Amino acid sequence: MSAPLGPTAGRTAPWHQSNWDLRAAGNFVFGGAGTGLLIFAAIGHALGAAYVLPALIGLACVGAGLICVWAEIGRPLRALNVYLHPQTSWMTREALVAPFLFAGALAAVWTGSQSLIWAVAVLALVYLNCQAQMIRASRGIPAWRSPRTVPLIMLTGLCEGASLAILVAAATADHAYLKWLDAFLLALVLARGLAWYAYRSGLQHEGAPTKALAALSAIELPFMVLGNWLTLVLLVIALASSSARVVFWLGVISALAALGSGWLFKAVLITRAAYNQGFALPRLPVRGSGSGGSAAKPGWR
Amino acid sequence: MTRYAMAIDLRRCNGCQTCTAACRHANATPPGVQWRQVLDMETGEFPDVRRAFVPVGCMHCGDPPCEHVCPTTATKKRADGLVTIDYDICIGCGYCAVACPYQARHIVHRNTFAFGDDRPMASEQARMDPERIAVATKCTFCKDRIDAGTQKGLTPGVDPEATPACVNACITGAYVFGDRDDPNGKLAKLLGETAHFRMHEEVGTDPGIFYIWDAKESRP
Repeated sequence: MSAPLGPTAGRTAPWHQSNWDLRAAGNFVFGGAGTGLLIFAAIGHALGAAYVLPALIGLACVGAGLICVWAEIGRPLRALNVYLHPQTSWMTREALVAPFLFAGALAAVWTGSQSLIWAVAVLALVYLNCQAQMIRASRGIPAWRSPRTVPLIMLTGLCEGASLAILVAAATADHAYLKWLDAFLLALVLARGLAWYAYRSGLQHEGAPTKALAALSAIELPFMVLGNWLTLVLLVIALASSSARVVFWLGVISALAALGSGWLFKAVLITRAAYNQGFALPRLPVRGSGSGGSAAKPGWR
Repeated sequence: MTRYAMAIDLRRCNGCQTCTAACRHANATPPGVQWRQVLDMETGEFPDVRRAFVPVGCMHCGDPPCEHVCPTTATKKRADGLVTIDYDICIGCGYCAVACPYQARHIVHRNTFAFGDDRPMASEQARMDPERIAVATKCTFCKDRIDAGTQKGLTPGVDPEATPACVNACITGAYVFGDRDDPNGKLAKLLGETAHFRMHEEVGTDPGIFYIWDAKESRP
Protein backbone atom coordinates (compact mmCIF):
# COMPACT_ATOMS: atom_id res chain seq x y z
CA MET A 1 0.00 0.00 0.00
CA SER A 2 2.99 2.32 -0.03
CA ALA A 3 2.73 5.30 -2.34
CA PRO A 4 4.35 5.08 -5.75
CA LEU A 5 7.94 6.27 -5.75
CA GLY A 6 9.45 8.66 -8.24
CA PRO A 7 12.15 11.22 -8.53
CA THR A 8 11.65 14.00 -6.03
CA ALA A 9 14.27 16.48 -7.18
CA GLY A 10 12.72 19.70 -8.42
CA ARG A 11 9.29 19.10 -6.92
CA THR A 12 7.70 21.99 -5.11
CA ALA A 13 4.20 20.80 -4.16
CA PRO A 14 4.05 18.24 -1.35
CA TRP A 15 4.74 14.65 -2.36
CA HIS A 16 4.27 11.49 -0.41
CA GLN A 17 7.04 10.54 1.96
CA SER A 18 8.81 7.38 0.81
CA ASN A 19 10.71 6.41 3.94
CA TRP A 20 7.96 4.69 5.92
CA ASP A 21 5.86 2.11 4.11
CA LEU A 22 3.52 -0.70 5.18
CA ARG A 23 6.22 -2.15 7.41
CA ALA A 24 6.26 1.03 9.49
CA ALA A 25 2.46 1.12 9.41
CA GLY A 26 2.57 -2.46 10.71
CA ASN A 27 4.23 -1.25 13.90
CA PHE A 28 1.35 1.12 14.57
CA VAL A 29 -1.30 -1.38 13.44
CA PHE A 30 -0.05 -4.33 15.50
CA GLY A 31 1.47 -2.30 18.32
CA GLY A 32 -1.74 -0.36 18.86
CA ALA A 33 -3.96 -3.43 18.73
CA GLY A 34 -1.61 -5.45 20.92
CA THR A 35 -1.23 -2.85 23.64
CA GLY A 36 -4.98 -2.20 23.54
CA LEU A 37 -5.60 -5.91 24.02
CA LEU A 38 -3.16 -6.05 26.96
CA ILE A 39 -5.12 -3.25 28.60
CA PHE A 40 -8.45 -4.98 28.00
CA ALA A 41 -7.02 -8.30 29.11
CA ALA A 42 -6.45 -6.65 32.50
CA ILE A 43 -9.91 -5.14 32.54
CA GLY A 44 -11.45 -8.44 31.45
CA HIS A 45 -9.49 -10.26 34.14
CA ALA A 46 -10.87 -7.86 36.76
CA LEU A 47 -14.34 -8.80 35.54
CA GLY A 48 -13.52 -12.48 35.84
CA ALA A 49 -12.38 -13.40 32.32
CA ALA A 50 -9.25 -15.43 31.55
CA TYR A 51 -6.03 -13.44 31.20
CA VAL A 52 -3.51 -15.77 29.62
CA LEU A 53 -4.79 -16.08 26.07
CA PRO A 54 -5.59 -12.40 25.41
CA ALA A 55 -2.31 -11.35 27.05
CA LEU A 56 -0.29 -13.71 24.89
CA ILE A 57 -2.13 -12.59 21.74
CA GLY A 58 -1.52 -8.96 22.72
CA LEU A 59 2.18 -9.64 23.21
CA ALA A 60 2.37 -11.44 19.88
CA CYS A 61 0.81 -8.42 18.18
CA VAL A 62 3.30 -6.02 19.79
CA GLY A 63 6.12 -8.35 18.79
CA ALA A 64 4.84 -8.49 15.22
CA GLY A 65 4.84 -4.69 15.13
CA LEU A 66 8.44 -4.55 16.35
CA ILE A 67 9.48 -7.11 13.75
CA CYS A 68 7.87 -4.90 11.11
CA VAL A 69 10.03 -1.96 12.26
CA TRP A 70 13.13 -4.08 12.33
CA ALA A 71 12.40 -5.15 8.75
CA GLU A 72 12.08 -1.51 7.74
CA ILE A 73 15.29 -0.05 9.07
CA GLY A 74 18.27 0.22 6.78
CA ARG A 75 20.84 -1.18 9.19
CA PRO A 76 19.03 -3.91 11.17
CA LEU A 77 22.24 -5.20 12.77
CA ARG A 78 22.62 -1.85 14.52
CA ALA A 79 19.07 -1.96 15.88
CA LEU A 80 20.19 -1.70 19.49
CA ASN A 81 21.42 1.84 18.80
CA VAL A 82 17.74 2.75 19.05
CA TYR A 83 18.23 2.94 22.84
CA LEU A 84 20.68 5.85 22.73
CA HIS A 85 18.38 8.87 22.80
CA PRO A 86 15.66 8.64 25.47
CA GLN A 87 16.00 12.36 26.22
CA THR A 88 13.84 13.44 23.28
CA SER A 89 13.11 10.55 20.92
CA TRP A 90 9.74 8.82 21.23
CA MET A 91 11.12 5.94 19.18
CA THR A 92 13.74 5.32 21.86
CA ARG A 93 11.11 5.59 24.56
CA GLU A 94 8.90 3.07 22.79
CA ALA A 95 11.87 0.72 22.50
CA LEU A 96 12.67 1.20 26.19
CA VAL A 97 9.15 0.27 27.28
CA ALA A 98 9.03 -2.85 25.09
CA PRO A 99 11.30 -5.19 27.13
CA PHE A 100 9.52 -4.26 30.36
CA LEU A 101 6.18 -4.86 28.66
CA PHE A 102 7.23 -8.30 27.46
CA ALA A 103 8.89 -9.32 30.73
CA GLY A 104 5.98 -7.98 32.80
CA ALA A 105 3.31 -9.64 30.68
CA LEU A 106 5.08 -12.99 30.65
CA ALA A 107 5.57 -12.77 34.41
CA ALA A 108 1.89 -11.84 34.84
CA VAL A 109 0.85 -14.81 32.71
CA TRP A 110 3.16 -17.06 34.69
CA THR A 111 2.21 -15.89 38.19
CA GLY A 112 -1.32 -14.53 37.67
CA SER A 113 -0.39 -11.64 39.98
CA GLN A 114 -3.12 -8.99 39.92
CA SER A 115 -0.68 -6.16 40.53
CA LEU A 116 1.56 -7.34 37.67
CA ILE A 117 -1.44 -7.53 35.36
CA TRP A 118 -2.30 -3.91 36.10
CA ALA A 119 1.33 -2.85 35.82
CA VAL A 120 1.42 -4.41 32.37
CA ALA A 121 -1.76 -2.53 31.43
CA VAL A 122 -0.08 0.73 32.47
CA LEU A 123 3.04 -0.15 30.46
CA ALA A 124 0.85 -0.95 27.46
CA LEU A 125 -0.80 2.44 27.76
CA VAL A 126 2.63 4.11 27.94
CA TYR A 127 3.76 2.15 24.87
CA LEU A 128 0.64 3.21 22.99
CA ASN A 129 1.26 6.82 23.98
CA CYS A 130 4.85 6.55 22.70
CA GLN A 131 3.53 5.39 19.34
CA ALA A 132 1.07 8.26 19.11
CA GLN A 133 3.70 10.80 20.17
CA MET A 134 6.13 9.33 17.64
CA ILE A 135 3.73 10.19 14.84
CA ARG A 136 2.99 13.66 16.23
CA ALA A 137 6.72 14.48 16.52
CA SER A 138 7.14 14.05 12.75
CA ARG A 139 7.06 17.73 11.98
CA GLY A 140 7.69 17.18 8.29
CA ILE A 141 4.30 15.56 7.73
CA PRO A 142 1.37 17.96 8.21
CA ALA A 143 -1.17 15.13 8.61
CA TRP A 144 0.89 13.66 11.45
CA ARG A 145 2.16 16.62 13.43
CA SER A 146 -1.23 17.84 14.63
CA PRO A 147 -1.55 17.45 18.40
CA ARG A 148 -4.96 15.90 17.75
CA THR A 149 -3.16 12.90 16.25
CA VAL A 150 -2.29 11.69 19.76
CA PRO A 151 -5.81 11.08 21.12
CA LEU A 152 -6.94 9.71 17.77
CA ILE A 153 -4.14 7.15 17.58
CA MET A 154 -4.56 6.18 21.22
CA LEU A 155 -8.33 5.78 20.95
CA THR A 156 -7.90 3.78 17.78
CA GLY A 157 -5.50 1.44 19.59
CA LEU A 158 -7.89 1.08 22.52
CA CYS A 159 -10.79 0.37 20.15
CA GLU A 160 -8.74 -2.33 18.49
CA GLY A 161 -7.82 -3.76 21.89
CA ALA A 162 -11.45 -3.89 22.99
CA SER A 163 -12.40 -5.43 19.64
CA LEU A 164 -9.75 -8.12 19.94
CA ALA A 165 -10.85 -8.77 23.54
CA ILE A 166 -14.42 -9.31 22.29
CA LEU A 167 -13.21 -11.68 19.59
CA VAL A 168 -11.08 -13.64 22.04
CA ALA A 169 -13.95 -13.80 24.54
CA ALA A 170 -16.32 -14.92 21.78
CA ALA A 171 -13.90 -17.57 20.57
CA THR A 172 -13.18 -18.97 24.05
CA ALA A 173 -16.75 -19.15 25.31
CA ASP A 174 -16.09 -16.37 27.83
CA HIS A 175 -19.48 -15.03 26.78
CA ALA A 176 -20.46 -13.71 30.21
CA TYR A 177 -18.19 -10.72 29.72
CA LEU A 178 -19.22 -9.86 26.19
CA LYS A 179 -21.75 -7.27 27.28
CA TRP A 180 -19.16 -5.49 29.43
CA LEU A 181 -16.69 -5.45 26.59
CA ASP A 182 -19.40 -4.28 24.20
CA ALA A 183 -20.09 -1.37 26.54
CA PHE A 184 -16.40 -0.44 26.63
CA LEU A 185 -16.15 -0.65 22.87
CA LEU A 186 -19.23 1.52 22.46
CA ALA A 187 -17.73 4.27 24.62
CA LEU A 188 -14.40 4.04 22.78
CA VAL A 189 -15.96 4.05 19.33
CA LEU A 190 -17.92 7.16 20.25
CA ALA A 191 -14.73 8.83 21.52
CA ARG A 192 -12.80 7.73 18.42
CA GLY A 193 -15.44 9.27 16.17
CA LEU A 194 -15.25 12.58 18.04
CA ALA A 195 -11.44 12.48 17.95
CA TRP A 196 -11.55 11.89 14.18
CA TYR A 197 -13.73 14.93 13.56
CA ALA A 198 -11.59 17.05 15.87
CA TYR A 199 -8.50 15.87 13.97
CA ARG A 200 -10.03 16.54 10.55
CA SER A 201 -11.32 19.98 11.50
CA GLY A 202 -7.91 20.77 13.02
CA LEU A 203 -6.21 19.86 9.76
CA GLN A 204 -8.63 22.01 7.79
CA HIS A 205 -8.04 24.91 10.17
CA GLU A 206 -4.25 24.61 10.30
CA GLY A 207 -3.96 23.80 6.61
CA ALA A 208 -2.65 20.64 5.00
CA PRO A 209 -1.63 19.40 1.57
CA THR A 210 -4.74 18.89 -0.56
CA LYS A 211 -3.69 15.35 -1.43
CA ALA A 212 -3.37 14.45 2.25
CA LEU A 213 -6.86 15.77 2.92
CA ALA A 214 -8.16 13.83 -0.09
CA ALA A 215 -6.55 10.61 1.17
CA LEU A 216 -8.24 11.06 4.54
CA SER A 217 -11.59 11.94 2.93
CA ALA A 218 -11.38 8.73 0.92
CA ILE A 219 -11.63 6.63 4.08
CA GLU A 220 -14.54 8.52 5.58
CA LEU A 221 -16.96 5.79 4.44
CA PRO A 222 -15.05 2.64 5.45
CA PHE A 223 -13.43 4.09 8.57
CA MET A 224 -16.02 6.42 10.01
CA VAL A 225 -19.39 5.50 8.55
CA LEU A 226 -19.06 1.73 8.47
CA GLY A 227 -16.28 1.15 11.00
CA ASN A 228 -17.41 3.67 13.56
CA TRP A 229 -20.99 4.89 13.39
CA LEU A 230 -22.54 1.67 12.10
CA THR A 231 -20.54 -0.17 14.74
CA LEU A 232 -21.91 2.18 17.34
CA VAL A 233 -25.49 1.48 16.25
CA LEU A 234 -24.90 -2.26 16.32
CA LEU A 235 -23.41 -2.03 19.79
CA VAL A 236 -26.37 0.00 21.08
CA ILE A 237 -28.71 -2.70 19.73
CA ALA A 238 -26.55 -5.42 21.28
CA LEU A 239 -26.53 -3.73 24.68
CA ALA A 240 -30.30 -3.13 24.56
CA SER A 241 -30.97 -6.75 23.66
CA SER A 242 -31.67 -9.44 26.21
CA SER A 243 -30.81 -12.18 23.72
CA ALA A 244 -27.37 -13.70 24.28
CA ARG A 245 -27.28 -14.66 20.61
CA VAL A 246 -27.82 -11.05 19.52
CA VAL A 247 -25.20 -9.81 21.97
CA PHE A 248 -22.74 -12.40 20.67
CA TRP A 249 -23.16 -11.84 16.96
CA LEU A 250 -23.54 -8.08 17.01
CA GLY A 251 -20.57 -7.89 19.35
CA VAL A 252 -18.44 -9.97 16.99
CA ILE A 253 -19.51 -8.02 13.90
CA SER A 254 -18.89 -4.72 15.68
CA ALA A 255 -15.49 -5.88 16.86
CA LEU A 256 -14.46 -6.94 13.37
CA ALA A 257 -15.65 -3.64 11.93
CA ALA A 258 -13.93 -1.51 14.59
CA LEU A 259 -10.72 -3.52 14.30
CA GLY A 260 -10.55 -3.53 10.51
CA SER A 261 -11.43 0.14 10.18
CA GLY A 262 -8.79 1.10 12.76
CA TRP A 263 -6.13 -0.83 10.89
CA LEU A 264 -7.25 0.73 7.63
CA PHE A 265 -7.01 4.21 9.14
CA LYS A 266 -3.48 3.70 10.40
CA ALA A 267 -2.31 2.13 7.16
CA VAL A 268 -3.73 5.04 5.21
CA LEU A 269 -2.32 7.61 7.62
CA ILE A 270 1.20 6.24 7.17
CA THR A 271 1.16 5.15 3.53
CA ARG A 272 -1.40 7.37 1.81
CA ALA A 273 -1.94 10.62 3.73
CA ALA A 274 1.69 11.29 4.66
CA TYR A 275 2.38 14.08 2.20
CA ASN A 276 5.33 16.19 3.20
CA GLN A 277 5.50 19.93 3.65
CA GLY A 278 6.61 20.68 0.11
CA PHE A 279 8.22 24.06 -0.51
CA ALA A 280 6.69 27.49 -0.16
CA LEU A 281 7.71 31.11 -0.44
CA PRO A 282 6.04 33.73 1.75
CA ARG A 283 7.17 36.34 -0.83
CA LEU A 284 8.34 36.05 -4.40
CA PRO A 285 11.56 37.93 -5.15
CA VAL A 286 11.75 41.33 -6.77
CA ARG A 287 12.94 41.09 -10.37
CA GLY A 288 14.42 44.12 -12.10
CA SER A 289 12.33 47.21 -11.48
CA GLY A 290 9.16 45.25 -10.70
CA SER A 291 7.76 44.48 -7.30
CA GLY A 292 7.88 41.25 -5.38
CA GLY A 293 5.04 38.81 -5.78
CA SER A 294 2.75 37.44 -3.12
CA ALA A 295 3.14 34.11 -1.42
CA ALA A 296 3.38 30.81 -3.25
CA LYS A 297 2.48 27.57 -1.51
CA PRO A 298 1.73 24.98 -4.18
CA GLY A 299 -0.34 21.95 -3.30
CA TRP A 300 -1.87 23.34 -0.12
CA ARG A 301 -5.38 24.17 0.88
CA MET B 1 28.60 32.11 19.89
CA THR B 2 29.09 31.09 16.30
CA ARG B 3 26.03 30.15 14.27
CA TYR B 4 26.93 29.27 10.73
CA ALA B 5 24.13 30.21 8.38
CA MET B 6 23.52 31.05 4.77
CA ALA B 7 21.75 33.79 2.86
CA ILE B 8 20.51 33.18 -0.66
CA ASP B 9 19.55 36.17 -2.74
CA LEU B 10 16.55 35.01 -4.77
CA ARG B 11 16.83 38.14 -6.91
CA ARG B 12 20.20 36.91 -8.16
CA CYS B 13 19.67 33.19 -8.55
CA ASN B 14 19.13 32.32 -12.20
CA GLY B 15 18.60 28.60 -11.72
CA CYS B 16 21.83 27.52 -13.41
CA GLN B 17 22.26 24.61 -10.97
CA THR B 18 26.00 25.15 -10.71
CA CYS B 19 25.63 24.87 -6.95
CA THR B 20 23.90 21.50 -7.40
CA ALA B 21 26.70 20.26 -9.63
CA ALA B 22 29.36 21.59 -7.27
CA CYS B 23 27.70 19.91 -4.32
CA ARG B 24 27.49 16.60 -6.11
CA HIS B 25 31.11 16.92 -7.17
CA ALA B 26 32.25 17.82 -3.65
CA ASN B 27 30.18 15.21 -1.86
CA ALA B 28 29.89 12.41 -4.43
CA THR B 29 26.18 11.93 -3.90
CA PRO B 30 24.61 9.12 -5.94
CA PRO B 31 22.23 9.68 -8.86
CA GLY B 32 18.87 11.05 -7.71
CA VAL B 33 20.28 12.46 -4.49
CA GLN B 34 20.83 16.19 -4.44
CA TRP B 35 21.85 17.64 -1.12
CA ARG B 36 21.63 21.06 -2.77
CA GLN B 37 18.94 21.46 -5.40
CA VAL B 38 17.42 24.48 -7.09
CA LEU B 39 13.65 24.58 -7.43
CA ASP B 40 12.07 26.22 -10.43
CA MET B 41 8.87 27.70 -9.00
CA GLU B 42 6.43 29.09 -11.51
CA THR B 43 3.32 30.67 -10.05
CA GLY B 44 0.30 32.65 -11.18
CA GLU B 45 -1.69 32.50 -14.38
CA PHE B 46 -1.05 34.14 -17.71
CA PRO B 47 -0.40 37.02 -18.10
CA ASP B 48 0.58 37.48 -14.44
CA VAL B 49 3.09 34.66 -14.19
CA ARG B 50 6.13 34.73 -11.94
CA ARG B 51 9.12 32.53 -11.73
CA ALA B 52 11.59 32.09 -8.92
CA PHE B 53 14.62 29.86 -8.58
CA VAL B 54 14.93 28.63 -5.03
CA PRO B 55 17.97 26.71 -3.80
CA VAL B 56 17.02 24.33 -1.01
CA GLY B 57 18.68 21.73 1.17
CA CYS B 58 19.27 21.11 4.84
CA MET B 59 18.49 24.32 6.68
CA HIS B 60 20.75 23.45 9.64
CA CYS B 61 17.94 24.45 11.95
CA GLY B 62 18.49 25.98 15.37
CA ASP B 63 15.80 23.65 16.69
CA PRO B 64 16.16 20.65 14.36
CA PRO B 65 13.26 18.17 14.51
CA CYS B 66 15.54 15.53 13.00
CA GLU B 67 17.83 15.76 16.02
CA HIS B 68 14.95 15.49 18.48
CA VAL B 69 13.43 12.39 16.92
CA CYS B 70 16.65 10.53 16.08
CA PRO B 71 16.62 7.45 18.33
CA THR B 72 20.36 6.84 18.05
CA THR B 73 21.96 10.27 18.55
CA ALA B 74 23.43 9.90 15.06
CA THR B 75 22.01 13.31 14.25
CA LYS B 76 23.53 16.05 16.35
CA LYS B 77 23.60 19.82 16.38
CA ARG B 78 27.06 21.22 16.87
CA ALA B 79 27.80 24.30 18.92
CA ASP B 80 28.43 26.24 15.72
CA GLY B 81 24.95 25.41 14.42
CA LEU B 82 25.82 22.66 11.94
CA VAL B 83 23.50 19.67 12.04
CA THR B 84 25.51 16.51 11.46
CA ILE B 85 24.92 12.79 10.96
CA ASP B 86 27.22 10.07 12.30
CA TYR B 87 26.97 7.34 9.67
CA ASP B 88 28.47 4.79 12.05
CA ILE B 89 25.57 5.10 14.49
CA CYS B 90 22.59 5.73 12.19
CA ILE B 91 20.27 2.74 11.78
CA GLY B 92 18.46 4.13 8.73
CA CYS B 93 15.06 4.14 10.39
CA GLY B 94 13.96 7.17 8.35
CA TYR B 95 12.41 8.92 11.34
CA CYS B 96 14.56 12.00 10.75
CA ALA B 97 13.44 12.08 7.12
CA VAL B 98 9.75 12.26 8.02
CA ALA B 99 10.49 14.78 10.76
CA CYS B 100 12.31 17.19 8.43
CA PRO B 101 9.96 19.85 7.00
CA TYR B 102 12.46 20.61 4.22
CA GLN B 103 12.73 17.17 2.60
CA ALA B 104 16.46 17.48 3.04
CA ARG B 105 17.28 13.91 4.06
CA HIS B 106 17.96 11.01 1.77
CA ILE B 107 18.37 7.30 2.36
CA VAL B 108 19.62 5.07 -0.44
CA HIS B 109 19.61 1.34 0.11
CA ARG B 110 22.09 0.28 -2.56
CA ASN B 111 24.80 1.76 -4.71
CA THR B 112 23.59 3.29 -7.94
CA PHE B 113 25.63 4.74 -10.76
CA ALA B 114 24.91 7.28 -13.45
CA PHE B 115 25.19 4.88 -16.41
CA GLY B 116 23.67 1.79 -14.84
CA ASP B 117 24.33 -0.24 -11.75
CA ASP B 118 26.76 -2.56 -13.51
CA ARG B 119 28.73 0.21 -15.19
CA PRO B 120 30.21 2.51 -12.55
CA MET B 121 32.54 5.17 -13.83
CA ALA B 122 36.04 5.10 -12.39
CA SER B 123 35.32 8.27 -10.41
CA GLU B 124 32.12 6.78 -9.00
CA GLN B 125 33.91 3.57 -8.09
CA ALA B 126 36.66 5.49 -6.37
CA ARG B 127 34.38 7.76 -4.37
CA MET B 128 31.64 5.25 -3.52
CA ASP B 129 31.23 5.22 0.25
CA PRO B 130 29.61 2.07 1.69
CA GLU B 131 29.18 3.92 5.00
CA ARG B 132 26.51 6.06 3.35
CA ILE B 133 24.35 3.15 2.21
CA ALA B 134 21.11 2.55 4.17
CA VAL B 135 21.70 5.50 6.48
CA ALA B 136 20.38 9.05 6.38
CA THR B 137 22.45 11.60 4.47
CA LYS B 138 22.04 15.30 3.83
CA CYS B 139 23.84 18.57 3.20
CA THR B 140 26.62 19.07 5.74
CA PHE B 141 27.33 22.71 4.85
CA CYS B 142 30.62 21.10 3.78
CA LYS B 143 31.63 20.74 7.41
CA ASP B 144 34.88 19.03 6.47
CA ARG B 145 35.93 22.12 4.55
CA ILE B 146 34.81 24.37 7.39
CA ASP B 147 36.62 22.33 10.02
CA ALA B 148 39.82 21.97 8.00
CA GLY B 149 39.73 25.64 7.09
CA THR B 150 39.14 26.96 10.58
CA GLN B 151 41.98 24.79 11.86
CA LYS B 152 44.21 26.66 9.45
CA GLY B 153 42.89 29.96 10.74
CA LEU B 154 40.70 30.58 7.72
CA THR B 155 37.26 32.16 7.94
CA PRO B 156 34.24 30.28 6.53
CA GLY B 157 32.37 32.46 4.09
CA VAL B 158 35.43 34.62 3.45
CA ASP B 159 38.14 32.15 2.50
CA PRO B 160 37.00 29.77 -0.26
CA GLU B 161 38.97 26.89 1.24
CA ALA B 162 36.78 27.04 4.34
CA THR B 163 33.51 27.75 2.55
CA PRO B 164 30.80 25.33 1.32
CA ALA B 165 31.23 24.22 -2.30
CA CYS B 166 27.85 25.58 -3.41
CA VAL B 167 28.75 29.05 -2.17
CA ASN B 168 32.09 29.00 -3.95
CA ALA B 169 30.53 27.78 -7.16
CA CYS B 170 27.64 30.23 -7.44
CA ILE B 171 28.12 32.28 -10.59
CA THR B 172 25.83 35.12 -9.56
CA GLY B 173 26.99 35.62 -6.01
CA ALA B 174 23.53 34.68 -4.74
CA TYR B 175 24.98 32.68 -1.84
CA VAL B 176 26.54 34.26 1.21
CA PHE B 177 27.81 32.08 4.03
CA GLY B 178 29.11 33.01 7.42
CA ASP B 179 28.61 33.44 11.12
CA ARG B 180 25.18 34.91 11.71
CA ASP B 181 26.20 36.05 15.18
CA ASP B 182 29.19 38.04 14.01
CA PRO B 183 27.83 41.60 13.70
CA ASN B 184 30.78 42.62 11.54
CA GLY B 185 30.51 39.64 9.23
CA LYS B 186 29.26 39.85 5.68
CA LEU B 187 26.24 37.69 6.43
CA ALA B 188 24.94 39.70 9.37
CA LYS B 189 25.46 42.95 7.46
CA LEU B 190 23.65 41.64 4.41
CA LEU B 191 20.73 40.44 6.47
CA GLY B 192 20.57 43.85 8.11
CA GLU B 193 20.37 45.55 4.73
CA THR B 194 17.79 43.36 3.03
CA ALA B 195 14.24 42.08 3.31
CA HIS B 196 14.36 38.32 3.83
CA PHE B 197 12.43 35.35 5.11
CA ARG B 198 13.07 31.78 6.10
CA MET B 199 11.10 28.89 4.72
CA HIS B 200 8.31 27.29 6.77
CA GLU B 201 8.94 29.51 9.77
CA GLU B 202 5.54 28.47 11.09
CA VAL B 203 6.94 25.02 11.84
CA GLY B 204 9.22 26.61 14.42
CA THR B 205 12.57 25.08 13.47
CA ASP B 206 14.68 28.26 13.39
CA PRO B 207 16.14 27.44 9.96
CA GLY B 208 19.65 28.60 9.10
CA ILE B 209 19.02 29.62 5.48
CA PHE B 210 17.71 33.12 4.82
CA TYR B 211 16.10 33.99 1.51
CA ILE B 212 16.57 37.58 0.38
CA TRP B 213 13.75 38.87 -1.78
CA ASP B 214 14.16 42.65 -1.75
CA ALA B 215 16.21 45.57 -0.48
CA LYS B 216 15.25 46.75 2.96
CA GLU B 217 14.89 50.43 2.13
CA SER B 218 12.09 49.79 -0.36
CA ARG B 219 10.01 48.10 2.33
CA PRO B 220 7.64 50.26 4.39
